[in-house]
Amino acid sequence: MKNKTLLLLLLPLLALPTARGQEQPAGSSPLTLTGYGLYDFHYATGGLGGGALLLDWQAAPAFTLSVGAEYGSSNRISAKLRGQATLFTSHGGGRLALENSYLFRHFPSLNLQEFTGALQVAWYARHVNIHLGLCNRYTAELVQRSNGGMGTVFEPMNVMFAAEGWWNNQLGASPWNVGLRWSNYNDFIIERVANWFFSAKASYRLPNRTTFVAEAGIHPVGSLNLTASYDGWFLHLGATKQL
Amino acid sequence: MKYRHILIVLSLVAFTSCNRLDVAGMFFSSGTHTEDRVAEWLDWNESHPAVVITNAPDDYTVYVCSDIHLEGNTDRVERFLRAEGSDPQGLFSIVNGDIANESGPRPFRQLDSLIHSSAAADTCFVTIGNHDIYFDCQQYFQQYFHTSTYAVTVQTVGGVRDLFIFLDSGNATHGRRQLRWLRDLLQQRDQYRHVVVNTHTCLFRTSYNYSTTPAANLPEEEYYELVDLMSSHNVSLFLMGHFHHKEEHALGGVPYVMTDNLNDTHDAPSYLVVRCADKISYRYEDLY
Repeated sequence: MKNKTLLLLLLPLLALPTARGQEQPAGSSPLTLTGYGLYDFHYATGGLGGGALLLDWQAAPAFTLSVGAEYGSSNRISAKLRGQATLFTSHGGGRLALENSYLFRHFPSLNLQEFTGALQVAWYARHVNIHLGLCNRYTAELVQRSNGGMGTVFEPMNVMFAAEGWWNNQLGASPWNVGLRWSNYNDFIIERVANWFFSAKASYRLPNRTTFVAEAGIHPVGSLNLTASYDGWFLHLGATKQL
Repeated sequence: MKYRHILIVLSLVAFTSCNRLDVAGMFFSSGTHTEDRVAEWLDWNESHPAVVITNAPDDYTVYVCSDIHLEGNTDRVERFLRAEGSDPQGLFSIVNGDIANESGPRPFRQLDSLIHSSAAADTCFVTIGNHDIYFDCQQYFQQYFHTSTYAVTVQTVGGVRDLFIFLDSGNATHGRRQLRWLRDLLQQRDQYRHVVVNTHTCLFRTSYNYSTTPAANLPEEEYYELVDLMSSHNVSLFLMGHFHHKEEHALGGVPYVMTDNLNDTHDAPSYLVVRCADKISYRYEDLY
């Protein structure tokens, strides 16, 4: 199991030398900042409000490094690091990428910490984005451990997926776009494979390189081998700015 | 293993029109929501006295199994109940969800008959599982077992009390009302020597076999809140089923133990024997 974990963590490094292809428009900044406010409601455990910031740095023509942080009122503090290497760009604008991310979540009110490493293959096309990958997760109750409690729980090889469809060409000139997304994760939450998010997304780009973004969705629980039922909803409202 | 995965996928298609798999229920709720069921369970509790087992020995055992998936043949469950009944220290047994593997009342009627037959020398407590909800089957669970959100108190001759809590996680969530009920109940933790919590759905996703791929767990936020609730109230043992294999974890000082499946398709079925003495301990026992 340790070998599998190590392999999962090191695979992206193998991809780096092969990264090539994505051209950056002349004169554009390599830095993009995204910020949004969020409200996340869970039927069983209640709602929380907060916000998130993500900074993308196009460090090389085909490599982007991202850092992010999220705060959810009293119950959730998260930090994220992600590297994305473009492996292949098609003539039609499609792009195949390898994404490696690390997510740390701390739940101050619950004395719990979670660390997840994930590796995904992504395909970005004009109207469709597809992500498929695996993640490994450690959960620990650190305060309890220091008081004589014991144990961490390791959850290996959880499948992560996301499928997005966009109305307008994502590479086109239209300033607005709307889309639908089906996945088992978002920026700072990775659910187990059978707990899904269904969301609607929208964006509107201003001439000054600022884009307003919005996402609203529901998350049922228990699909596949349990009878599905409603668990909650979420709303993200914010903007992306190329610096 | 590959062969089993292919079989599962094929069965999803093949059994759509029969009474084995509620395919629609895998994507949309075909029965009641957890919240509605829990309301009914708690209403039933209010009009019936809570179960208190008195004069129990200070050192006793409880037999636990799950995922019996009755399809006509009851030999394995009978053997399990007889094992508990023949143990001089045995106090009661527990079936932790997934009684059924088909539509209709038969599995519930069969288990109820067994519990009230000579096979079971002592009583048996039951929780509801995801397969007991498919095809709107919770009505049959309710008809025979009445509630899946309840607590049983054991009073020993030595004057100590243990608490066994039974939860409904058939929809991969315990729901707001049930969590509130659980929080209130755990406020009285210091009145008991041991507190044992039973629910069907496994909290973790730590291993893979034909039954867990793909399988659902609780949503993240509820999983963390429940784990914290268990450790902050020093729960003695948390028992689960659902994934059809044996698994043990410890998090925040609380042992989380998953029981095996007891249905006919499993080659080497087992159950759990929990010993409640000054300390709580457990061991797996092979059925054969």
